[in-house]
Amino acid sequence: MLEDKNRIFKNLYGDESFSLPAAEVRGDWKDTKEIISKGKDWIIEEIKKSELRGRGGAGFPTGVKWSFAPKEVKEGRPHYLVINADESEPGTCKDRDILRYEPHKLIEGCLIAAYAVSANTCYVYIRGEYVNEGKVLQEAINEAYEKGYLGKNAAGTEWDLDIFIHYGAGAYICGEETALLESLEGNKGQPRLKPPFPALIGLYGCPTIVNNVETIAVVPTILRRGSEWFASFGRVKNRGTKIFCISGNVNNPCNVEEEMGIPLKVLIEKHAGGVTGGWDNLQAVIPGGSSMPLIPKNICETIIMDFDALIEAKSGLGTAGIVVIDKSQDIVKCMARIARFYKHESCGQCTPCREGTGWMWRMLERIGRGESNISEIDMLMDVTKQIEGHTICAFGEGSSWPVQGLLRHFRKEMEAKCSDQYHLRKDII
Amino acid sequence: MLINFFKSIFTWWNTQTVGTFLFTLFSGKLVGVDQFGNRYHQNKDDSKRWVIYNGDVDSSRIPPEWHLWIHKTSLSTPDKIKFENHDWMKEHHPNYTGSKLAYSPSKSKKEKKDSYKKWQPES
Amino acid sequence: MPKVKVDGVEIEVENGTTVLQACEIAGKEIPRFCYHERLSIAGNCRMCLVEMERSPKPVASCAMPAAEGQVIFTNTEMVKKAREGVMEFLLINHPLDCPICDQGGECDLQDQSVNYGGRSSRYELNKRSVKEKYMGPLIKTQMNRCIHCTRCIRFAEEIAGVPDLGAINRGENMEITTFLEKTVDSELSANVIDLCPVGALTSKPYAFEARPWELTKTETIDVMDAVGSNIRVDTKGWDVKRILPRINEDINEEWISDKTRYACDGLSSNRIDQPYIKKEGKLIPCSWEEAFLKISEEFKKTANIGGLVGDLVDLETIFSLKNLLSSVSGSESVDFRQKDFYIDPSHPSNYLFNTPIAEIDDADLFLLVGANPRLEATMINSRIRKNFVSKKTEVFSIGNPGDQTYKINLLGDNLSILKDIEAETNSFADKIKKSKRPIFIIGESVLNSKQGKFVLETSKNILKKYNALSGLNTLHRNASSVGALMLGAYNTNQDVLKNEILYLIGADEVEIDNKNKFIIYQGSHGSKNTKIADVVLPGAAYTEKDSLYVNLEGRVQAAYKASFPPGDAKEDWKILRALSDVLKKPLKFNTIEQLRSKIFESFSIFPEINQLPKVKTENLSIASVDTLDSKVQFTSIDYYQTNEIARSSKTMMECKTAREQLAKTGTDD
Repeated sequence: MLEDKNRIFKNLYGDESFSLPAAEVRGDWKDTKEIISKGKDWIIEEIKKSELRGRGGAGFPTGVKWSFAPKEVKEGRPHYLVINADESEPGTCKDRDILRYEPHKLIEGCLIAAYAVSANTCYVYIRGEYVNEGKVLQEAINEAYEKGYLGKNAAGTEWDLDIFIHYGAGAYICGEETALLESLEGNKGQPRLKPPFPALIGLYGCPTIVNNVETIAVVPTILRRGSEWFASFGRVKNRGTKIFCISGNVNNPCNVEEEMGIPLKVLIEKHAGGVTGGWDNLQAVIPGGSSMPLIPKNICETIIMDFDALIEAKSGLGTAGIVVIDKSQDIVKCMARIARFYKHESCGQCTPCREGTGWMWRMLERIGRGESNISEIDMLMDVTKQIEGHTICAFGEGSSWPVQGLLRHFRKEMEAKCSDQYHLRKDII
Repeated sequence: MLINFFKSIFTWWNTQTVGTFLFTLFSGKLVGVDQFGNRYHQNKDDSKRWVIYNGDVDSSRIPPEWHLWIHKTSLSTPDKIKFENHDWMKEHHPNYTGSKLAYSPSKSKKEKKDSYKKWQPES
Repeated sequence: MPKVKVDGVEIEVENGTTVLQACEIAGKEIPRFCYHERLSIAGNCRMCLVEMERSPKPVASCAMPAAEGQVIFTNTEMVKKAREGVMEFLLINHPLDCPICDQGGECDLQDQSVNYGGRSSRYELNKRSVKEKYMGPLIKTQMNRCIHCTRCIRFAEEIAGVPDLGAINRGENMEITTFLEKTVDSELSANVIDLCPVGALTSKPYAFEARPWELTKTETIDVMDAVGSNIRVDTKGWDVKRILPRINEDINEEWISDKTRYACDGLSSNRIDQPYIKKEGKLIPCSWEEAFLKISEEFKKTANIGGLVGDLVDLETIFSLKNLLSSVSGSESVDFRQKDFYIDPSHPSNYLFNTPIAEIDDADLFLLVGANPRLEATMINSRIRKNFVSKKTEVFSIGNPGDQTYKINLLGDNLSILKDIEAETNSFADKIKKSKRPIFIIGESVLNSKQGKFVLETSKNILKKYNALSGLNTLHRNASSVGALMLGAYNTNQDVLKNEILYLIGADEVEIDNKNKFIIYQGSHGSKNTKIADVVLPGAAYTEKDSLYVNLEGRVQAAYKASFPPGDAKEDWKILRALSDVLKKPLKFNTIEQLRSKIFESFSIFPEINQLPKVKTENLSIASVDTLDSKVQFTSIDYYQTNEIARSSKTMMECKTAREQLAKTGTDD
């Protein structure tokens, strides 16, 4: 259990005002100048030492990512910092609370990160549905400009930074970093081919670092309190604190900042008020937002919540959006609904995902309705395997993993719904 | 009769061969007869289904209902299935390709014209 | 030069090569749908997946640059499974209507499903259906078949330069469309039909005409403009069913213009298939003998005979006509100009397109003087656009030619600007000073008797000053022009039309006053000049004879006989040869080989076939001219109706109407 003094987001529940005076009382914008005066190398080194991993889902070490940005800014090729606030993963709502209650943490983080990667322009790509959150962020940015924390010689650091907000148009895929850049440039939001990676050729063909809101928002605190402090939480390679979003069949759905590696059971019982109908009523948990495979109750008993432990359990931490499913739910129908979401959000660029997501959804729907032959379960597994790893971006994995998780742990339930006699053309037989 | 007997020994395109006759005799079970007089058989465990034609051996002589059965698309014989009869449905006939009744598009029936249009001095 | 290993074979490839190309070099075939050599890389069909060492997932080889030490496998179980998976996905929503699909037999999806397709479909649900789109009179759509490779979108955007095509919606509902259901407004639009790997975009005029294996293929040369694009003519029996491009890196790369491709249905209408003779003011069908006798009678009356060749006439015919007339009347009164047109034949460089077409890619500055390359020579325009896109080369123009699919900087429309450039009082002089390979393109619109000399000589002066005379280019419009000039079939002193007897070969554009004249018309298609003729002789069109054509660079190319002349019609040079016998002045050749060797003997300027002429611009004489205060007047070009074959074509008429409609709706521009 994380002690209050170690919390980074002290206003996660919006008890206080988001505005600059209140934020300064909470410790934001303190010593920013001193931190930046220590130099880029020190900042990147410190972040590397803190073992901060990206909070957007993939968990790539942030310090390493920043070090990929070219050291020198070439003529005509400015660097960009892009903040990914296109939080659309079902089950995840951490960035929203940061944007509306702690925007100054983000803005200060932007300044430090922009300085570290030599960027003078920062874009915040915010989800189109987050209108109010965008307004709050804009207000906070305006406050920062007034106070001289942004603009020319931001916060007295002799570094210039401008932050612009860009609203998305409601596409999940625009949360993928290269699709986000395409969308930001005004094109259709479709992921780009990698390589080249955005760190070298990104927005408008210039070096670009794309980071999640939470990643950037924790940076100032890490640098102020020291990398050792941050690294004192959690296990090796899974350090620090993290916001967990708990939703679904729990008594008290909430966002909570906790130490990495906290047991899932503790998280649900202590913070979310337990599963509806008691722990024994638990059926399964999606531990990392809808794109991660679910884990059944027996694994939930012991699992701890960090990147590596969940990968061992053949799932993933993702964005730490924990969705609890109790026994009153039809697990196949739950997954069919998720598959429908992915079918709807596929960008349509590459073949396996465009054609496969729809097929998966239709099969799951039919299995859910009990209109399937047993052989279709194996076919479904085949289809997920044909999508996974064959696509341009990680959407292919994101759409096929939940179905694979279902097949791995709930095959019996699915088989019970099917019959070996069932045939689509039943009217003839 | 005798001619038919010799035909069944030396040709395969008239009703049935001797082998089929014997096989049908020993392990065949008559399932049904269609409107053209083709006789449909199956063996005891229904692993084989076959037809003995009333005339030329030509698979397109099998009407659609029996086509379903003989290709094992349906488990039961046509008389046990309720088919809808529409007024636009036509009587089944074998494939006419190669015969005088073969279909040819009206275009090719017309006299062959020059494939180009002439220039006319008066036009 | 990275070294990569493909299936155990180590090869060295050039920098910037993709893995797919490396595999190709190693002799491994990689299936692909979206990848195309001349388009940008999309990497979205996922068919070209290969296995790479140290990569857990299969890699899309078309998008992955080859790097030192890569170990690539193209035939492992993983690769096979991945490709089969992709193929299955492509096929689940692809209608299995191959028997009624025009792409059948030349369909990439069909071919590759033989290797990677499953035995039967596991997909038992309903297939997606997509509404048809309208893309103009040339492109037939059947969007159910689309596999979303986006080749057509990339072609329209990158090469044709018209952002008319695009994809709307996302995921399963993604559709390729022209955004407002309008005609694709490009002269290159029909190339998307060749690009489409499936039957989604097929040819509207060719719909349900033939199967590819029924067609006889003849590789030949196009004559719709002076570029001489390389084409393949597909015939079924007598009919020319379709025309496809043939790859020639030096001329048309892989594309041809819509006119080249679809004017071929004009070959089967409006044909002259027998001789006619005028009796009592009416053209009456007659035999060859009657026609020849009538001509020889008339030839006996006067020696005042002139010949005029049209825009689609080949070298052999021009040469034969010239020889015939000189032997009959001793006159050299043969010309190729059907309108006011300035020429200076003292040196070939004065009338050639001196920059080889392939070297347009290397240019770093363009100046168009009264030229409209988009309509006059579409393939040259696509080269200019290619250069403009890849190198951001600036294109300047004197006179506004309208939209050229790239940005044009107008210098003004008065030709006196050229004099300012020469005197370095125009800022363009600085540009050309900095430029290493400037290109001047002079259009036929300014090559008239009033402006031609000034434009040509001033351009030469400017280019000479910056040592760039090889950048002097004349943009001819007609396939016969350069050949006629090289053969000396021009007449500077005496107006050909003043002669008492006129021998017209396919000269359809010229206005003739037929009072007190005897006119012989020889040609393949009837036109207004056929009607006023006294004797009409049926000739052959360009697909119906073995012949030589010279393109605007001076490159001699051979066209081959794909079909035969209709009715009593004969190849043009044979008609002239037969006529010479009747006139008792036989021409000294009997076969086409003899004729050709005669041409090459008499005119040393002709290069070998498919070679450029060896013309040096150094010893080009330059005259100085006084400044001319005159504006560029573009002669109007009715793009789809420039010659008699195109005018006879139904498809070209439809294109013209579609373009007029487009202009009316205001969606143009």
